[in-house]
Amino acid sequence: MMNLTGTIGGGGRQGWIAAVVGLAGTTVIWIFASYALFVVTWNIAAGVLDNPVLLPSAGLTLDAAAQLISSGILLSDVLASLKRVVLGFAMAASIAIPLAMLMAFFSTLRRLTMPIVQLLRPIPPIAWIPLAVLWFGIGDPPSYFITAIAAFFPIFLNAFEGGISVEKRHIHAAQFLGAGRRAMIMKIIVPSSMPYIWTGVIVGLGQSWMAVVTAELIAAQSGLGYMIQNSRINLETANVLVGMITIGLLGSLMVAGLRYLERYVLPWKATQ
Amino acid sequence: MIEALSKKEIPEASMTQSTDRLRQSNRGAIHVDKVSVEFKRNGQAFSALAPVDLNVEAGAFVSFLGPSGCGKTTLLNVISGMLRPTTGSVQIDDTPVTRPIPLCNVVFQQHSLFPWMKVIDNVAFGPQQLGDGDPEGTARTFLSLVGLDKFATLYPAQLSGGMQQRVAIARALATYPPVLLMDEPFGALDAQTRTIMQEELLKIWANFSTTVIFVTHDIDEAIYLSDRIVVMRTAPGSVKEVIDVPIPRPRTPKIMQSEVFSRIRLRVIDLIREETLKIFNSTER
Repeated sequence: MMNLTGTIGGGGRQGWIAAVVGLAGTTVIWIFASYALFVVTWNIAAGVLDNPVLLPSAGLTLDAAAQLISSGILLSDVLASLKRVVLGFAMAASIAIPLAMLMAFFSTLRRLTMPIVQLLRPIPPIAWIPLAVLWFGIGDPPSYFITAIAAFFPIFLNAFEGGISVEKRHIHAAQFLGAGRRAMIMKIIVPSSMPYIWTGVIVGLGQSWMAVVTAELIAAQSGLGYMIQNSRINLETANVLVGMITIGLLGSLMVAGLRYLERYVLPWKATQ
Repeated sequence: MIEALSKKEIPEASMTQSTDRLRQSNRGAIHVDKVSVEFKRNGQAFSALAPVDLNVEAGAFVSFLGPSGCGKTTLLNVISGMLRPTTGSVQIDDTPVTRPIPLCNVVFQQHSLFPWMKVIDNVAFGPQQLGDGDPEGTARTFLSLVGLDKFATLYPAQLSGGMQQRVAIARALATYPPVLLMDEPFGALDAQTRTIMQEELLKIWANFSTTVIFVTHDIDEAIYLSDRIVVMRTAPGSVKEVIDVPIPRPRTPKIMQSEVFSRIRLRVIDLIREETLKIFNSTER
């Protein structure tokens, strides 16, 4: 009963705001409200600690951000990190998706390689860093490796799930309609698995983005991770916070972008 | 699982452009020869289908009728090539059927439309695969045949259940298969839609030489649609009796009031009651 009343009341409020600013406007208002809450809490904490090395206020952090932006340092670090994510992610996807499909449809290959996948999967990307540095040195190549490792497993596991969930009735229907091998793969199996693959891509990109920072903390001399690490050593805590917030913003922007693209990648899902 | 289809298996008539030239060929005769099916259940062999012999002449409309568990769907799956029989073989005309091939197509109770393709692309898929010169044109022809040309650019999920089944029928017919297998195609529809779909099916079928095997447990539906009814025996499934339906075509729902109809109906009810009781009693114990 309470729940019912609450739902109706909530719907009413939502409707009132939406009537004034529109549905998209409502979303924006809520995002701003949420960020405002975050900044207020942050400033209270900063006021209590009263030590800009431990926690600078939002204002100080904003100043630091302005400086990092105007000097171009932030942009070059962002670009360095983005490049590593995009390349590593692309490498992971181009191996993970075909491999997952092959393993979903060829049981010998699956039986032979699945235990290896299960063994490697729980190893966090950070544990690969020593090997990555030994093999590739310092700079871009070890970071590509780490971002690829991070993106690989979510993409692979989801694509594999998609491959094995292709429905038998769709395979049979295609056979009755005379589908050859090529059409079976390109027009039945891949599109049928696409919702899973897409989920893997979204999760994989997020993982890859998190991993690049980790990689840069140790194995690079540019990028957001490196900037954070460097600023910590110089006790420039405001710069650390700018780096962290940039990571958060870009990460959520990337995922939001992919969610937006979904209507073009999976148009038939958008209609349901 | 994925098997390429060699070109020579494609029936020549699948290349035709319009529906008028049908009802003249003699394609689609089905020969079921000593087919039996055993399943392994908890390590024990379980006979789903005792040896079945059945011949269906080209162009006939035949129903498989019986209570659930009588093996009618199993038999249909063997005829379609989706299920390998334990013994025996199936031929459509002179081609042995060992896997799904374009000599037949199936319409299921739950449609097997590809949800990622628009309605038009679903129907055009078969013609395209089989080398039709104008797959989209053929698809449009068949969509108008089932009255859905206006819905060509929607996705299957945007259609009602009845409309989805009509698309499924259009897609199945668009490659001019000699044999059309239907497994309780209207089972999930409401009674009114179902009646209309039955009438539509008869109208469409009248333009085709296609042999139809229609699996159902609805006695009226079976009599109304069929030339012959194969009443199935249960546990294990086999053919109990084949009953002719000597009611002239074209048929309308009015024939359900006719004397012949009720006579056949009573006979079928008796046969099925025997089988249903057999299952009922065996599960009671």
